[in-house]
Amino acid sequence: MLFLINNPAIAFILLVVIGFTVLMGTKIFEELKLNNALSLKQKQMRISNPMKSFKSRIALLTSAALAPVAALVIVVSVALSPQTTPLDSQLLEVSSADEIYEIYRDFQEKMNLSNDYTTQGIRDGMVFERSFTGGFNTFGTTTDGLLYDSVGSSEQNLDTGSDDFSDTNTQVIGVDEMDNVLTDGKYIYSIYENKVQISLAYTTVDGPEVLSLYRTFVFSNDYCDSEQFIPQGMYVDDNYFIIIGNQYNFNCEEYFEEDTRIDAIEPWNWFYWNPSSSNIKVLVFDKTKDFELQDEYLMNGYFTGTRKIDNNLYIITNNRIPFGDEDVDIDYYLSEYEVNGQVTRASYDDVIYIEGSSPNSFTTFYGIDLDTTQVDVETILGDHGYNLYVSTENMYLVGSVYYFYPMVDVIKLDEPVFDSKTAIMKVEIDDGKVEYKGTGLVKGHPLNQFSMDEYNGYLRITTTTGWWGEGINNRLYILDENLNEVAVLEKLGKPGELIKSTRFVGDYAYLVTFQQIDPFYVINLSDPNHPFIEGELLIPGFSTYLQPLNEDYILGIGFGDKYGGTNGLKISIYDISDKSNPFVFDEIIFDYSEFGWASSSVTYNHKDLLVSLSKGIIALPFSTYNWTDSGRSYNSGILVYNINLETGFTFNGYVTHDTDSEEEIYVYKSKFISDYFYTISNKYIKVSTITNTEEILYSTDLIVD
Amino acid sequence: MFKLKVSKSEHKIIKERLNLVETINYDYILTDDKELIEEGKINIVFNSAEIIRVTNLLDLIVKGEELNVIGSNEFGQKSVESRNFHYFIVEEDDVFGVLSNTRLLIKTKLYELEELLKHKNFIRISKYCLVNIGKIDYIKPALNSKLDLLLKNSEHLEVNRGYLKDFKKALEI
Repeated sequence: MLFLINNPAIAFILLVVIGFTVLMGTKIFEELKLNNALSLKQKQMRISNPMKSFKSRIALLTSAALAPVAALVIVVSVALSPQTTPLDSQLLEVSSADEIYEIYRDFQEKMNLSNDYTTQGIRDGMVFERSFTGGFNTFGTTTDGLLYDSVGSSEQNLDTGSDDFSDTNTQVIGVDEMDNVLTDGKYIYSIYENKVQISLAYTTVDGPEVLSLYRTFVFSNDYCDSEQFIPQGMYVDDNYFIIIGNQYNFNCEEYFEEDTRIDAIEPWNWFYWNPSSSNIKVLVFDKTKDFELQDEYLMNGYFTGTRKIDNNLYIITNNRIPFGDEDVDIDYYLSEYEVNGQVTRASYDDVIYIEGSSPNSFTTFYGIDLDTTQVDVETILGDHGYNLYVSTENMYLVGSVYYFYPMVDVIKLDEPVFDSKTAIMKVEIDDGKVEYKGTGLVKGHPLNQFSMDEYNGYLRITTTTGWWGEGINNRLYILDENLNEVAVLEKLGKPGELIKSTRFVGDYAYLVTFQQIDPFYVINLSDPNHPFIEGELLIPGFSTYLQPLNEDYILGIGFGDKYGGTNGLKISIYDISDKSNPFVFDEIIFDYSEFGWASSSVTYNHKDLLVSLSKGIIALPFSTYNWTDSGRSYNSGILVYNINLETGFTFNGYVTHDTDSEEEIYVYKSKFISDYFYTISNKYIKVSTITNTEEILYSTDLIVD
Repeated sequence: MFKLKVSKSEHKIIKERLNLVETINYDYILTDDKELIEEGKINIVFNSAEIIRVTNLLDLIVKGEELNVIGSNEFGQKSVESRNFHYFIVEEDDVFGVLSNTRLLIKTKLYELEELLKHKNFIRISKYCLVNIGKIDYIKPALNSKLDLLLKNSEHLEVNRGYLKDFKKALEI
């Protein structure tokens, strides 16, 4: 009723239609009555072929009576059904800031038609819109010199390292992922807070005995320092050592003005809510020249994701446009990058808008050729992405696309006037070049980067719709190279279950769903048109991460306890040699109830896991708190298990850097070089042998004055 | 007009074979059981082997005696059985009887024809027109409260408001 009051035109049309239908109904009734009487009369008159026009006439009248109703139903249902035109036809070229304003206003108008509140922050994927009150960081003023203090540069060791060392545990072979601890067989690179440290770890001449801190880069993390830099991760290869970090530009001047007020906001909170802008900074060091800074790249915006393939670095940034600010100047938020002080600003002609996506920010894909410093850019106006998957040939960034009802401008609804789907933006990468290829659509949300996989030109993706109960639908889509749907499996898992982990390996997908019990599914994708569930296993607990060990075994990391619940860390090996009959080959459970508190970062960060079948180990961080009579004690270390695909797991060691200390020494990573096992904490790097990880051979202190 | 009195199990099939329409007020009893005859009615007692003959008998009863109307056209004078006329109409003081493919000039006045044919299911639908109910194919109520009659020869006639009541009565509505 409220709908009709809000839409008087529709109410009037409805009234007319009802009136017409009633009139027609009355007429039909009268006609039926008359002609029935005539028919009966003629039968009484014993006329053998009465009334040949009766049926066709009644059909015509009924159609005429129902036509307006049918037309109204069709119009309303079309109006209330979101458009699903393929997105390829909805690419808009943008040529000016005014056009972006127009796109934004049009989008917001549709979004807010039936709502009194401003919804930008809520609708844009639950991301709060911060108040951007300040200006934009001016490029070219902070690059005349190093941004860090380099500490402890001892004499360079010219001996070589080992070729046998642990790489970052990445999703795709050949596609490197940024991490906080790396090794190249000679050095170990580690980030802790505002320090990036290079430690000499191993040489073929002296082995692990050389373990020592080689260099420390201390970056300023002062909010108001214009040279502030928060390192986020690193890459290393034979030639380059790369540090990627954020540079937030806060409005310190305003803060200090406000500072004298009695109700002044606490500095931390103030800074959190009021950064004026962010830049991504990439520092590229030349390893062959003893870590000399070779190139420096700066990109405006917030960090979305990065990958490195050979000598090409790919970075994705997102720069939100604060449309809520009356004085917003879109020019300031347009993608801009700097290479060694040389500024390049994207023009509006470079911007693509995918219609239906929330035009709240510029998402920019950068391809950087580290050898030539050439930068290739693709900028898309749209929603920020939240899950990045990169194959050797394409980047896939997942965001949202909204579909508005076609008559949203005419019809006023109290309910939201749109539907949304997950949009998968595909950007082709080729030797440092980036090119937008298209956007595909699926229902539901992918859990993480492992929910996607490219294989033989097909993109496979698992998604979940809904959060609770019967409304949940887990799907596996197969999309072709143009991101058109080839096949979809729906209702995966038991009713009410959510996808907890996915891993695609060649022709198969391994999928874990969970609510009360963990079904582990083996899905055959060998025919992309006809995927099917080939095997299923029901076990307590669930895995949040799956990693193939070889064709016959897959490792699962997740939660499980001794009582069939999930209050513990569970490490499992699934035997998948018979795809139709997977079973648990071996498992280890650390019941959290045996500790005051326990946690392992591998349940959410695959890069903290070390798996090596050649060395026969798996290693992962595991930290616990215990409350005793004397207070709280903290233990953090690396759990190491020998892994043998015939005998299963055997305990190797729990490597800590301190035990029951009050000072929290967080051991967060492990690496191996040759036959030696390195563990990295916020204070030390310690080395032992892989066969006896608990016996520390050498140690180096990472604390610098 | 008729009432069929046979066993319940056979009632429907016999009724269909006789092409019979039963009415509440009836003059004839049709039955295969002489015990069921009614006083004061015309009772026809038959056995099932005679159904075809009974059907022919019913045709005769309903249609009554043949009544011919004499008219003429360019080919001369004709005597036509009344039930073959679709309608009679007055045009410029002449009365025409309309058949499927031709029309005849009738020398009889329309009101005389009405009187003559009142038991032959002809009904007056306007001051100038007398229609054969048996030749109406379809009745279409018009928006102006008149009725539009589609005849079996595809011609249309209109029932004027003044004759509507009698027309409906003739259909026994």
